[in-house]
Amino acid sequence: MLEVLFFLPVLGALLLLLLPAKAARWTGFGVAVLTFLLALYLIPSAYGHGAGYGTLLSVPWIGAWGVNWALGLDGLSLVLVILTTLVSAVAIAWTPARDRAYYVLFLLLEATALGTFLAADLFVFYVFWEAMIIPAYILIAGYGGPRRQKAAIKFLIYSLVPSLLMLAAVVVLGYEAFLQFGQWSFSLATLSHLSLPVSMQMWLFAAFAFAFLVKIPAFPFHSWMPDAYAEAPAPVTTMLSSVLSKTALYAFLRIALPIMPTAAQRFAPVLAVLALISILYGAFIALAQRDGKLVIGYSSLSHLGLVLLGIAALSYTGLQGAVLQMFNHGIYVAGLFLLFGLVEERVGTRDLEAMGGLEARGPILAGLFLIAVLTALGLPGLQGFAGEITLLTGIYMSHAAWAWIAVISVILSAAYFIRLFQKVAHGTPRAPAGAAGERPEIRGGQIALIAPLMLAMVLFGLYPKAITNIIGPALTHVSQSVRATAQGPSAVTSEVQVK
Amino acid sequence: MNFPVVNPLSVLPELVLLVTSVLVLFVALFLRAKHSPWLNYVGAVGVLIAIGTLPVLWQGHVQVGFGGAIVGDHFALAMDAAILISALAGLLLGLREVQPGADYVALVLWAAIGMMVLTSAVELLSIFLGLEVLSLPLYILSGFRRHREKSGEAAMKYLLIGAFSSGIFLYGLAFLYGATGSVTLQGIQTALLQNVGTQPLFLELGTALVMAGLAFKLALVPFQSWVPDVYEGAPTPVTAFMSVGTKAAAFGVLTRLLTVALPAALVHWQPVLSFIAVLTLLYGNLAALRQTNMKRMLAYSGIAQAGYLVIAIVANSQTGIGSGMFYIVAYAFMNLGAFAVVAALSGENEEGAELSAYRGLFYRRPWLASAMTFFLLSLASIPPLVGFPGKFYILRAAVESGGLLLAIAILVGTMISLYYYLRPIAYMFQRGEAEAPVAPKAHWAQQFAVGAMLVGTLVLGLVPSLVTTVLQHAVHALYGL
Repeated sequence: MLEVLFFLPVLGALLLLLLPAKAARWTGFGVAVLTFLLALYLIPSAYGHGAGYGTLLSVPWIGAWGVNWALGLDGLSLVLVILTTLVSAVAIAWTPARDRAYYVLFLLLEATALGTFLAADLFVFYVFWEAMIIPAYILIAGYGGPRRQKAAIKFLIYSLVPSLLMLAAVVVLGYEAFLQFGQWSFSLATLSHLSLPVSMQMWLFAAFAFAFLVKIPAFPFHSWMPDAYAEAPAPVTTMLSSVLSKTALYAFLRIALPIMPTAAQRFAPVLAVLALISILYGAFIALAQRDGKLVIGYSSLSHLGLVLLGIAALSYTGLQGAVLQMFNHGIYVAGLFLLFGLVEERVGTRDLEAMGGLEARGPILAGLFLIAVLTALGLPGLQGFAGEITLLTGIYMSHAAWAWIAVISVILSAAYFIRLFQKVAHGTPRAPAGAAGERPEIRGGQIALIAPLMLAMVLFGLYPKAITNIIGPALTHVSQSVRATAQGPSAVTSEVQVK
Repeated sequence: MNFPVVNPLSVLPELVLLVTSVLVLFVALFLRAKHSPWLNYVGAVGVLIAIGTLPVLWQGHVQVGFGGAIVGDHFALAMDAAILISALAGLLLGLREVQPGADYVALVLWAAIGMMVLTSAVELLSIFLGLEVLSLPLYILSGFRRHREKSGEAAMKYLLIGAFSSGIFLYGLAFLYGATGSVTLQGIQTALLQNVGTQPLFLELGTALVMAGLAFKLALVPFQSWVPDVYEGAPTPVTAFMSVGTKAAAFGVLTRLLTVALPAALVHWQPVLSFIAVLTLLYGNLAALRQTNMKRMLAYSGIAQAGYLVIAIVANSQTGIGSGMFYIVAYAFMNLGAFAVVAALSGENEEGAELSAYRGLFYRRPWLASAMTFFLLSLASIPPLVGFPGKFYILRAAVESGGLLLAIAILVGTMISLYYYLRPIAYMFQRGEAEAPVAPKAHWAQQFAVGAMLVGTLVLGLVPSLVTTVLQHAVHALYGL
């Protein structure tokens, strides 16, 4: 069934080419919803074999090169698969009146993102990781704002150049498998059994981490982000920030940590410094931004920096918080971008100074936006809080100093999100009533569309254990692989599993 | 006098093309109109029949002909396939691009015969024969658009430099014979291994000159200067045909020479060729950055691709040769596809080949623009397109043979290439500026060529093992396994 999860959106994309263009939006939506339902159906199959994959599909793909078409599902990938399918389904139907190619590309973007989460073979992962860039690029270049060309090409170059370094690392790992086990292999399970000299691990880890850090993005590799996020249409920005950034964070957990554990230990302080800078830098810029979309964009830089810090802490709780927050961030950032996109569409600007008074003219939209904002700033009882507190606890337990710096971001986060909401919703309307001259209110269909996201923000805020239970076994596996090669006491002094 | 055994089966595809070309010339005598598309169709059918003979020959025994001068082994047959596909593309694209005529068709077929002889030749004289049969028709074809000044310039440049390189090549062959006393590749290998009566100086000189002569054909630095002008000036279908066909043929003969005849001289050619490969791919990629004409851009990109191919040869292993052959196949699909799009867009004066003509193409010609996007991404070796497994295979060969620096050079070259492969894509998605000349509607043959190459680019990108297993046999044939 795993392969169906990937092929369903691909076949859906092909189907769209055959159907009349008018049906494209709802066909695309239908396919995305089916994919989401399939992901839910697959929940039980993520378990069964202890720490390994619950379901593993592996057939020879390029036999002579030791490449297998291998897809695996465990708790870790399951959470992100559910996130991807849910957000894709909401985002694809969010804006009307796009041509057929838009929906085809959107489904392909979903499929390739699913592929990166499911890949159990490094070669397969690389193919999806790169293939994902193509639909994303065309979606930005073809459907974005006025400066979309520059934004799209910047996105492309930033994505592709580090990926080539990663390709070198992939080949070297395959060759090491050949040297140590007698045949080329890219299976993640096989590669994690390699015994690599530390110096080689450092190089390989650097190559992988570079590609991942650019994709998240983290300081100082984030400069593609403001352009791409601002120019891409709101649903595409949603995919970039909600789903694509997670592929990189996920890859740290799935590839970099288990295969190069010693290097991960050595590099952890570097990652932590970059994460801390991202956290503070993103927060301060978000505080000063006039472009509302970029407030959300830079908040994302800051929040994902915290996730990266949790990963760099290399403790079980840190990783647990990281994955929990990856899921949470994916949900609330999607809500923020989609709703703000609607505001932008109705008011005709993204400039916060030209906005205001949404509360009076579109109370439902303002209310929904408020929920998303409160979730994002970490109000207890909502989704963002659970992830944040687990992350900070995990980080504090192993590196108290990091946590003290990181906690500043919580305060800043509240400041810029409240400022964002104030500028959008309070005060008197400053801009004319939208390009279409209609009331800036959300329509019934869109309420229904975004309801699952809103529901998730509340439900998983009240019951985060639903996620932590799912990811538990897989995370134990990851954290053990790092712990097993711990060379100093630094990384794993205090390990407390938060039950 | 003792005549050698001819064995026509060893040159069966070549014979098919020869018969077709004669038929075309003969039919043209009785045609009222001088130019008829039917001549191209007849030629295309001939090429298809020749392609059809390949699997039959593949199944049978290895055919040795002309007293051991020509061997139709799996290696030759595999390279023949790439050559025939590019000849087919040349004929189909020529339907609208060039005024179809018997001369055009016959010249394309003869050039293809030369290329195929080159890949199956295992003796110095037949190698030279193949090289000349390949070259002469291409000189004429590159100047085929007589009324265009650039076309004439291209033909003249190509003729002068080509003739010069043939001379150098022949001189090198003479030295090889002088050094070893044998004209067969096997004989040279034996002489070198037994070290009987070999002249080291002659051997080095011969190796160097032969490599230089083939470097002209493969467009390796420092013998690449003719390429951009000839590629730009020649009619686009001819450029498409010779960019792939000549590369396949030159790769075939260089591989055979180095692995069959000169493995003992590895110390002489491997460092030099490695150096040339790196220079070539860096030069090609850097020079392509500044091009504003698609044909010139593809010309420089072709130089860079030749650099990758030579790295496959330098790796000097079964993986290396296999990766080079796969890369030829990949290059055939993506490059012929790109040229087919260029041909479909450029009018009589080829103003459509300018980069500016690609502005907003996606909104005027969505299918052509999408196809071009795939071809360019494939050339930039982005998965899941065929260029990616091609590049990966060569990387693998380089890493396996310990050439980590070569692998890094490949990656650096690829990074540079991203810029110029992606720039036209960005142009195609620019809305509004419709300053471009309105291109005529694409001919069905052009559409067919674009479609077929697109299918190849996608399918082989997703399932490269369709070809890699076949090529494995070809590599074994080369090593006599």
